[in-house]
Amino acid sequence: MSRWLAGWAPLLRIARRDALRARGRSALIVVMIALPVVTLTWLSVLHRTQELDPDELVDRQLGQAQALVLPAYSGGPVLQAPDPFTGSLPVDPTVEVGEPADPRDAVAGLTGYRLLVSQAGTVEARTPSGVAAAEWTEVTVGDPANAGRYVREAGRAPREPSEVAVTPTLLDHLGAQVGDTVELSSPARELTVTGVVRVTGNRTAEEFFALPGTLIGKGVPAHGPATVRLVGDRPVSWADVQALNAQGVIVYSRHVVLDPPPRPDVPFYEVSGESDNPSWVFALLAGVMIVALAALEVTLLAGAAFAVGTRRQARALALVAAAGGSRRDVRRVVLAGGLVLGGAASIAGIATGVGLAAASKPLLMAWSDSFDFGRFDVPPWELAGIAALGVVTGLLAAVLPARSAARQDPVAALGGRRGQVRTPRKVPAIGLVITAVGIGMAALGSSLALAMTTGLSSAGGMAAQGVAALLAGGAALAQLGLIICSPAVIGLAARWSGRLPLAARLALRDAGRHRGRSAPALAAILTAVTGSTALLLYVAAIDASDREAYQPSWPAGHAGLNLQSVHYDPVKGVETVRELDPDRAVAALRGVLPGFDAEVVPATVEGCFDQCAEPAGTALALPVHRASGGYLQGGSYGAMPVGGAATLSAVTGGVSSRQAERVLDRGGVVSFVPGVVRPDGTVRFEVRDAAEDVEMRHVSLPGAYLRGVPDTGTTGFYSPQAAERLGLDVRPSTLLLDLRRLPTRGEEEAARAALVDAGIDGWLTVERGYVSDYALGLMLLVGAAAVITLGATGIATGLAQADARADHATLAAVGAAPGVRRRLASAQALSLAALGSLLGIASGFVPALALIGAVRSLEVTVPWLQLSLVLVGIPLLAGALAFAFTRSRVPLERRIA
Amino acid sequence: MSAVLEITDLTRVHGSGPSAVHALRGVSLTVTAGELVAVMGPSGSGKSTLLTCAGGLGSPTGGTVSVEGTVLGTLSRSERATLRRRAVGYVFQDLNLIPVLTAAENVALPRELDGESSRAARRLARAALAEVGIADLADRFPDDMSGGQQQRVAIARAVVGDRRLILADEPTGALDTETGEAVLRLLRARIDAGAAGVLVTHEARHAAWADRVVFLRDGQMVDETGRTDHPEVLLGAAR
Repeated sequence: MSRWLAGWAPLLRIARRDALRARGRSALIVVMIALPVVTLTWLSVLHRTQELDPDELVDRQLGQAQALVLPAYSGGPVLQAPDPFTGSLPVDPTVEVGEPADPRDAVAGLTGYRLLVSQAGTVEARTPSGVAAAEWTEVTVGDPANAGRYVREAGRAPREPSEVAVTPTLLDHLGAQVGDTVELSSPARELTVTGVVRVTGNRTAEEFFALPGTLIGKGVPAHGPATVRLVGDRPVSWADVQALNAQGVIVYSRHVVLDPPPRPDVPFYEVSGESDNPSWVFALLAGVMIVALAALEVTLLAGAAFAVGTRRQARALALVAAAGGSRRDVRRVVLAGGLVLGGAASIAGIATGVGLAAASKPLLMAWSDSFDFGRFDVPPWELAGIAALGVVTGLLAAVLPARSAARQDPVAALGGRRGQVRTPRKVPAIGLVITAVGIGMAALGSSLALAMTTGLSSAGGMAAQGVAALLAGGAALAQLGLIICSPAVIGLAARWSGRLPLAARLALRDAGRHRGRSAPALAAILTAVTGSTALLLYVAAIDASDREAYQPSWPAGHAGLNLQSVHYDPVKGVETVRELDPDRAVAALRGVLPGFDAEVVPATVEGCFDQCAEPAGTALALPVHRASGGYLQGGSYGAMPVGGAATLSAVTGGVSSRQAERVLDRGGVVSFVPGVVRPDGTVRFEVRDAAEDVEMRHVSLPGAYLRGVPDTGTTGFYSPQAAERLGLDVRPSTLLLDLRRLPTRGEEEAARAALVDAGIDGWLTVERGYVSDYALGLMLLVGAAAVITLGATGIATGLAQADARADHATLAAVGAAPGVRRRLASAQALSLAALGSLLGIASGFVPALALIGAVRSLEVTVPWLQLSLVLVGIPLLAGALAFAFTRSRVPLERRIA
Repeated sequence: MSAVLEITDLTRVHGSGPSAVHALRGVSLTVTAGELVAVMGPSGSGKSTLLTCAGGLGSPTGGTVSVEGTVLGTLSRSERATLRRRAVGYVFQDLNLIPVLTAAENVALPRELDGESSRAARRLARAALAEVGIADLADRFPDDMSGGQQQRVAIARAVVGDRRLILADEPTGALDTETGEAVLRLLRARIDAGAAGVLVTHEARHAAWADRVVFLRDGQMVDETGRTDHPEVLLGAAR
């Protein structure tokens, strides 16, 4: 053992000295290996610091109470996991969803507890810039049992119905101070702010706190039944929880969460069939893949740098061989270099990561309220693991260069001859086979996953994990196969470069000759682009599916104000409908919103089902769908819009036809969906009188199908005569504004305030069309691909330039203009980046198609813009950067004759 | 005979102050078409510096260099590069072929760099390779050729197009005697066809191929022989 170690000592010394001699290259390798170490250390320390222990978590939910009782929205008796927030199920899934049980009733039988009730709703409040919505919670916020849930930051808890406490974020938004009066616009109220209360663990909440019974049920509808916290000394046992479950409520009990019952005692697990939370498996799998990919990237990039280092070392290594070193010794010199640099990178990376975490903690907390860190916590074992990853990465990066260094002929190396690399024929074949197997596995995994989600949804957790592993493993194998092929691909490209212009030909042939550095760089680009492409495709598919599912309220660029304002009268217990004056609304909005054309769209009045303030003199008209029984729908108008040609055009956003207008003139109806109008040009209605349920009559009216109306949920339009024939009353329904341009969010908020000022109690909605939440994410993915591609081409080009000094001198001697060197570097970067992007995009389709194929609701959507940026934009950028950063002056090779 | 290369009072100083090295101190030399001048001298005498300045690869500290009447000192860097592409051919001892280009592509390089189409440049290159007797090696890479074959390619590259000044720096240094002689014979043939040549060597045997030999020591010309007959002529005379 000691002899074995002693053998390493001179090798490590050579490696260390060599690392110090070639400072630039060593620094590059150290930085590359250190980057993921820094990132992982930073994440690990911050994660540990933010992670709460169970006691803290329970306190955030319960304060000092023993349990929280919530309604189960499925209705009827339920089964729950010990922590109900991880899962609960109705006992009988066939029972229809009814009214959720009221926790206050459910706990009535329990003795020995004081009840702390809270109930929430939403109000609208005036802000300096307009009107905004805020949460309204009625709870005795100052109750001692709430200690740990709420933290009083200033002032005192409200004592009167006219008083409120607010969260710090809301206080800012309202532009108010403690003691100020704030104004609610819906319901109209003036309230005094008596204190500022922070919700533990949620620093972004915009919430009012008022005494129970202040507004909820008196103008503010509750979000649901009240929740109840049980305050007392006796813990709430699992048996208590199950008893409460039987009454249709779920319970978060301190005792049960901190000390959960054994699995067999939890019937929920049996019914749900969950062995554990499967998302945990996917998260782990994703985490492992991300770490593995990062390590692979670094190994490839650092490997390229090592390869060139060994080339530079060739003479020294040959001397080691000449001095009696075996091939193994030569290999070890290079491996020792990996060990030294990997070790240095790990130490530096961990120190930097911990420092960065400590420095960023206060910054993150100041930047976003969602960071609520606890004690600074450095996890020694995790950091040791990360350090080991760094050392292993360094060693792995040195493996291939070490092997080829050991194989080189010392005589050739001493003579300074440059060797030629040939890829054995077998290697690309093996790569292709591995790729094919990977694609096959991914396809199989994809189809199995699809079968599971559609047919056998109750397949066990293990099967889901197996399929996930099959998908991920297949994608990884396909990727690995392509990486194995990458030297051969470069060789092929070099061989086919004969007809290319000089710079490109030189660049590709040079890459082909020096596969030791170009292949890892290509593989690094390929891997990065594969990952980006896969995610781009997947995110684009989700985006497309969201876009598909998006239901606009009005035609794009329109805003609507519902003119029928519904009010709940808590005293009489009925809803009254108040009609808003469209002219006053238009006057209020002129000058606040950008220019618009206004159109009042009338709509039919449909029968109301319960709690009608007006006795139902109206009828319920339902057109009978000729083929499938589908109905014409009013969409955002609530009921069918009614009017003439001008109103039709406003409703459809400008779409109309002669035929539709003629039918409206003749007292008919227009359908925006096919199949409603019968071949004889009529629509057959079945009309029921709301008062007398039994009688039914049929009415046939002239009908026209209007093609190409943008989907806003409205599928038809009646003429006033048609509404009359159907026995329907018509009244102004909506003020529809055709906006010249979309208002800013500020203008929108100001417009709402203007309406409130004019005494118009309605909510204005602006149709902005589908706004993608993913646009930024897609661009970030392109950016990530760009960073790695530019890094890899930068390293490869820089190394190629350093390697090719002799060639540059020759070029100068035969009369190459000063710019040729830059053009060469540019061509080198461009060709490598383009090759890597092309292969990466192709291989990125494998996991993406597998993943998208596994989800029924998703369809393949190619994000052309982003992919073309990756394929064309990034290589051009790489070429331009190489051009810009290469010195044009050719240094004269100092020849030692 | 018109002078192809005219060097007047050339000085070249590397570095400055106490560490300054005077590589050349007032060297003058004229080479006419059809003339091969050998430059001899010990290591560090300034031979190679003379050659780099003659082709515009390096710039003189003082004095003038003119190639076919063009004074190099008045040219910009890229104009000097143009001159090298069109009028001057270099042959070095080693490191003078681009390893990733085939023989034909190496020879075509100056023409291609000059903006000629690849096809036309390669046609010229093949002709030049045929002239130096290795037309069949046009598609080989340098690594697949012997040293002598490589040096023939280098000479073909030095003369491709219509270039009239060949600057050779120890062109036989890496070759065995017989191959070296063959290369020099080829160089001589090109000179006889109308080019002017400067041959840097430290072997008197090779200098015998030149019309004239100049000797450099410590950057100064210390001796010059008159026109001599080169071996081929002598051999011819002996017959």
